[in-house]
Amino acid sequence: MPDDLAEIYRSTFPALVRFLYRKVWDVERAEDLAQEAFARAVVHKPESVRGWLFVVAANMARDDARRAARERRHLTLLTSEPASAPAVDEAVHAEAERSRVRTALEQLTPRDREVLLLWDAGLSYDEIATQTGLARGAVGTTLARARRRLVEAFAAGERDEHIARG
Amino acid sequence: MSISHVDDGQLHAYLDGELPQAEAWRLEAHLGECPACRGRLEEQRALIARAGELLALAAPPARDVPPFPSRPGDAQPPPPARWPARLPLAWAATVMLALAAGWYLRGEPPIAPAAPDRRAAAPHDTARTVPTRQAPESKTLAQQAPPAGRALPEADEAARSVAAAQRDQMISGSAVPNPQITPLDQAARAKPPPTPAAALAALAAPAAPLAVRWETIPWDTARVMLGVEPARIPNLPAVAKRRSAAERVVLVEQQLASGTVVRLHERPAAEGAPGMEVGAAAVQRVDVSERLARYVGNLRVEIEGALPADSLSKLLELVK
Repeated sequence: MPDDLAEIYRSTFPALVRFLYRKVWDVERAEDLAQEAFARAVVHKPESVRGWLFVVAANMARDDARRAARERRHLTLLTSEPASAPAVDEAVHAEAERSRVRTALEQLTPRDREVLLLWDAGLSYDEIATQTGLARGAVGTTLARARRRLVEAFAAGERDEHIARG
Repeated sequence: MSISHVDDGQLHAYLDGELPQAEAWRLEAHLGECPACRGRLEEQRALIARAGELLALAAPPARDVPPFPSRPGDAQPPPPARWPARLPLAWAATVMLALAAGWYLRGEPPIAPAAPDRRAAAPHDTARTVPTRQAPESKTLAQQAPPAGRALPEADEAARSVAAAQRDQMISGSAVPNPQITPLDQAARAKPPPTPAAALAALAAPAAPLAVRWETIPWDTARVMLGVEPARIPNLPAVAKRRSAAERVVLVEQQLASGTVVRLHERPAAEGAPGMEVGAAAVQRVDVSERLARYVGNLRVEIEGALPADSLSKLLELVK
């Protein structure tokens, strides 16, 4: 393996997992996909490795989500999804928060969400612009909108839950 | 907002440290003389912080960076410490072990049910013959078969295949009245389509002592039975079943997109692996050539149906 790629692996792997996790919502799956993306980078030797990795990872996550959706459809007659693990209050709370953030993220447009997740994973505006095809000047505007919508959607979700609970 | 004011995009770029130097200077100059924009700057700073907090809530748990994969699909198997957590890589390895070992052991020794149930016909016989005709091999097998619930010892391969096929068909028939397993049954049973006659024959036959109904139980119940989270393939819906409250064996049934069914039989760790009879008593009705069963640790793994080539190769790669 090329040394520079190994270095990028050390510095970028956690960010890539973080990025993928918000797409597949399963940390092991996210790690598998991140490793696969790096393994492909070894073969393809892209010029801009970091940007390339996120493009490939995003594609793999999308395919993964489609497959998961197909599998869910196959099983609709059969399944009762196992309930989430009963754990200490703290874990339950964290899980509830995570799920609320997930719901809020899902209310963003795909582009807003993508830009937000790429920024959160540590990509620069330039890298985000290259990857998404946005003009560089539009990245800040997109991020501003994405952040506002995320915060608003999360707050709305909390409100709804309070109302539902009475 | 007038042209001379700064827009939110610029404020975010500025706060993100991504505004080009010349623009940053212009913005700072404007902020110096515009309290309204200074106020907005602070609002946006708070918004960015809040969005960051929310994203952090949905961050994956911190974990060590695994070793660098050298080739596509060459993700490393997990270090031993990760096994107890039953992670996907461990899972892939588990399933692969089942494949590797089970592929040539397919058509595992069948269970000999009680004699009255031996009336099942050979695989390709029509349903009409089921209740009346006894295939010649059947008698041989009945003689060879040890008491109910025990595995057939060292039968030759041919006899094993035939017996397994018979057993499959027989259990298939007796499983018909169970509404809980119906959806899976129907998908998996596509090959020898069930006929009303076969169903009737199965109903008419005395209930097989071993073909016990597996009732679906809540996941929580399964967890309590085992004392740990039941093993399952992550990211795939799973159904937990048991035969009776007294018997602490949990069957976890999962179906891949391809229709392949994976069944995991598990007992509380202290009680060892579930016996062979457990597997046989589960609903099984797929062509034996596509069925594998293998023990992995204390877990009995059964795979029914073809595993897609890409899954197979992925699993192979992961195990390397």
